[in-house]
Amino acid sequence: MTVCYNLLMEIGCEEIPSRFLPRAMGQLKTEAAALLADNRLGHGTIETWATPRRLVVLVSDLETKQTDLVEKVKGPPVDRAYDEAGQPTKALLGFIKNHGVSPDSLEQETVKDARYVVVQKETPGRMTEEILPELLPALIRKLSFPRPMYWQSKDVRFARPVRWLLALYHNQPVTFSFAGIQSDRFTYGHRFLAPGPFEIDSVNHYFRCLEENHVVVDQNRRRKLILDQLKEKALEMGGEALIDEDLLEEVTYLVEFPVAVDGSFDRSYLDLPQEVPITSMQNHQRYFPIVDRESGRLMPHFVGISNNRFHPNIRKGYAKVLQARLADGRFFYNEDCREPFESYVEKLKSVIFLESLGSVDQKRARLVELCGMLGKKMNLPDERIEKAKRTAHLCKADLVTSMVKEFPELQGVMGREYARLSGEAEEVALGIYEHYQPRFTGDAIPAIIEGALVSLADRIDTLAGCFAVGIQPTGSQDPYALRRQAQGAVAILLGFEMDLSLEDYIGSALETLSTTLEIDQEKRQQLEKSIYDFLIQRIRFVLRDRGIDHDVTEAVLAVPFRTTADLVKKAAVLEEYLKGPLLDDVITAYNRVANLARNAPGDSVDKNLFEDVSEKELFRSLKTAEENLKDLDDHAQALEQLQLLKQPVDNYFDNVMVMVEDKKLRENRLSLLAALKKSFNRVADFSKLPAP
Amino acid sequence: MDLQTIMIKLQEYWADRGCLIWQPYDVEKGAGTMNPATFLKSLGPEPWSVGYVEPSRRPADGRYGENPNRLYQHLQYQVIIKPAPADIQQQYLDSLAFLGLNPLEHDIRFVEDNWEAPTLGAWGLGWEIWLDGMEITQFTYFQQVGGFDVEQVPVELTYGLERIAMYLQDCDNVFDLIWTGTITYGEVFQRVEWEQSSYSFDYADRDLLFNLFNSYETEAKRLLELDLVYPAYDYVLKCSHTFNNLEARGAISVTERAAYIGRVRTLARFCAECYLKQREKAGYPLLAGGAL
Repeated sequence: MTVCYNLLMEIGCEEIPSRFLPRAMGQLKTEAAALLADNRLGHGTIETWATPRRLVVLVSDLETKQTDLVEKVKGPPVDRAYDEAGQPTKALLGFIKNHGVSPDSLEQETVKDARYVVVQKETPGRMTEEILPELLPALIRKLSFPRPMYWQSKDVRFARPVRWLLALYHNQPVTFSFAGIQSDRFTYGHRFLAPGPFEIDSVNHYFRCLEENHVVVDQNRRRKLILDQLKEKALEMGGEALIDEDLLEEVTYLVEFPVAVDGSFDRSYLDLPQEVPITSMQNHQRYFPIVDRESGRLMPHFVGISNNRFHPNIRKGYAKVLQARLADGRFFYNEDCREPFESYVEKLKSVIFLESLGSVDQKRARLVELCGMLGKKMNLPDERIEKAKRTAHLCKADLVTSMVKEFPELQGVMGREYARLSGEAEEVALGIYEHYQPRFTGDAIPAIIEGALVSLADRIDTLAGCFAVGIQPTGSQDPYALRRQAQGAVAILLGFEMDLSLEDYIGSALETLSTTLEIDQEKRQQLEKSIYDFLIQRIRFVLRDRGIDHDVTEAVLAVPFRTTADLVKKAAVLEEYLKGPLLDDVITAYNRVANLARNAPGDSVDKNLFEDVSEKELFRSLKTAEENLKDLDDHAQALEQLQLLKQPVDNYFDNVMVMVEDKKLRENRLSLLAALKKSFNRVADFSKLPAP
Repeated sequence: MDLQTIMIKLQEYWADRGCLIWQPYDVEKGAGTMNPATFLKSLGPEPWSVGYVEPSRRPADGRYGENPNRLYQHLQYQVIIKPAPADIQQQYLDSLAFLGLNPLEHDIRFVEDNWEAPTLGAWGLGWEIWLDGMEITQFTYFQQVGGFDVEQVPVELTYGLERIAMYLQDCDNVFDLIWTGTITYGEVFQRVEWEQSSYSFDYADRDLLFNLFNSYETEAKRLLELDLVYPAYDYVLKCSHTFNNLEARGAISVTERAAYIGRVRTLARFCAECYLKQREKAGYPLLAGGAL
């Protein structure tokens, strides 16, 4: 039976940024597993934990010894290993010496047509306690951080300075040094409540010791402690905590000993748009706002998570800082409200959008025009188009208000509020807010057409503009988040089933862009193509996300399509019928037709050249299908229409020889096939689908 | 505790820990970091520890003395220790305790904040220190200064003196702070705030400032060619402050902004380079002394 013991390592640091920790824990676990595997060390589970001041890994049941390594080592070729007298040459003697093997154990083996001296080499496994002092510092070095620093010598980097190292195996210290620190069996408790150091005599006592010294090492437990306390405090205040998941995670990694502290602010700040106090609480102070359980309305209370035992100072301080921020917010709000919202539009002239793409005011003007163009192309009612244009006119104006300059995360929100105050139509106010949606993958798309139209216009304008000045995402580089912009545009085109082709969408944007930027014909064509391809990439992504088979995606993308929404619907239908008799028939018929149709000179057919009845039959069926397909937007019905062609196609091939000597006859028959192919291609390129 | 006592206590505290007590530098600047005792002395291998009060001017932050929390000029207490001692966090916390802030009675937190001064080509990693939710200090391990990787990592502590005083005096308006005895911060600075804000926002002469910027820049370059690092650096500081004035006056567009910052950074880089050469030539005298 193998003997196993637990291994524990704690990397003690100055406060590591909370956003680094989840990833660091994952890495610690993966790298530990990889290192142990490379070193032929068997083990049980590997668990990791993190607090702001420590990264911890526990390897359970780590074997005390490496498994032995048996490997065959290749030496010199036989003809160079022995001299004419059959005595070992220098080369062979060197080989024997290097590997420390006995001459008796030498064997010979053929490797790629040549005979070599080989030897079976056995490396006995080393003791775990002997290897760990090499392994653990190597493990620490494997951890990488988004922005590492050095604090002593340049070749040692970590998230923040490492200040102590605890490493125990079989309850004995594993001694090594990293960044000038000697590992030992000591840890430190809560920075203020129980600084330590504390000696850990057994791996099993580690958690208890830290718990006693006010450090909750387990992040899941900290998270739960926070949630429980939030609930309790909120209940006392007669409301419930508004819990933002990202904030909860951040706070979990900001404290070692979470203690909820409740506080209140002046009720008069509730007159501000809700988002203002909420942003101050969540983004600036990392507090949890309290809302009314029934109405969901903000209450003048909050809960902050302190890293220390309760003291009235803390409650007072928390409230005071928030109050100062809210006072600032009110000051900005009143300041901004002094002038009508419209007047801020003028100031957009002094804000640069992107270097050579002019000011935000120029963008504004383009968006107004673009909304008009797109709205007309989609045949939207004039009244909605006008409102969308008004929305576009105002949508960036809040960028130059004091509030948004101070709280950039409130862009859109303040625009909506100031527009309302200035008496704009509700659709315009809401549209201003919505034009930033979706802000991230999975975020809601706009709910009203004004918001959707401006969002579409804004996205394609940014995309076209960036592409035009040579800013295109490459690999992981996408500084202007163009992929996200495009993904959002596709989501809106789909969500609203916009009656707009990609060609019109892109073309309109390039047209309005040319008011700012000179774009010649050649450049325009090249931009149309690259932007089109870029959007198609995003559509592929959507299709994959919706579980559409890769072949189906290629089949529908290979032929022209009317609108993005229609394309996606079509893909869904093909996916549904994939590997079913209906679609199989269509594919079979298509493949028979398409193979030969390639050689056709054109697709105009001369009925007078028909000889066989099956030709006439096929032609008639084709005409019927063409007629029926013309205005059909139900893709399942379209497939049924195409399926009706299978029998005539089969009959045709059974009775007619296409590749006859007579050129006229042959070309006419090929043209009929080409005409057929064209009808199929109204739906998809079925050759991309697996043949039955 | 009045503002004056806070300054005196911080001087005393850091002097006891071996810091040389430097003085504010007599050229206008936006932060204590720009004092040559930080910017230049952070470079190179020589050890260096200083503490000093620095009045820092930020023209765009002026509010005519009407906002209880915002100032054209605020006071920083600046500490630079190179190389950073291993127990610097504790030393810092002890300095708060020395001011009467018992860590057991407050929530003191190190919250990630990465500091950058683009005009100086300087950046570092560290934290904002939160005292019961309020930022009171910037704590930074420098990584680059003047575009050069630091040879020995200096730690910079920048205490916001008004913030700390407001906390200690339980005061909601900076102008009500007691400076000493019965004299308030407002009595010392409120009129100054109003005048400086008026100048920055309403009366600064754009053409004059543009000309000054260009002249200061030319002069800095000329002096650097003569290997006169300190006077050259004075002109770099003047460039930087002039740029801040122009920006507050709304005379610099967003596109031009980057170019102006780039011009100041280039000068700062030259100064850093020149200073490093000088110290090398001198044989790094502070290395041998080791007194600081």
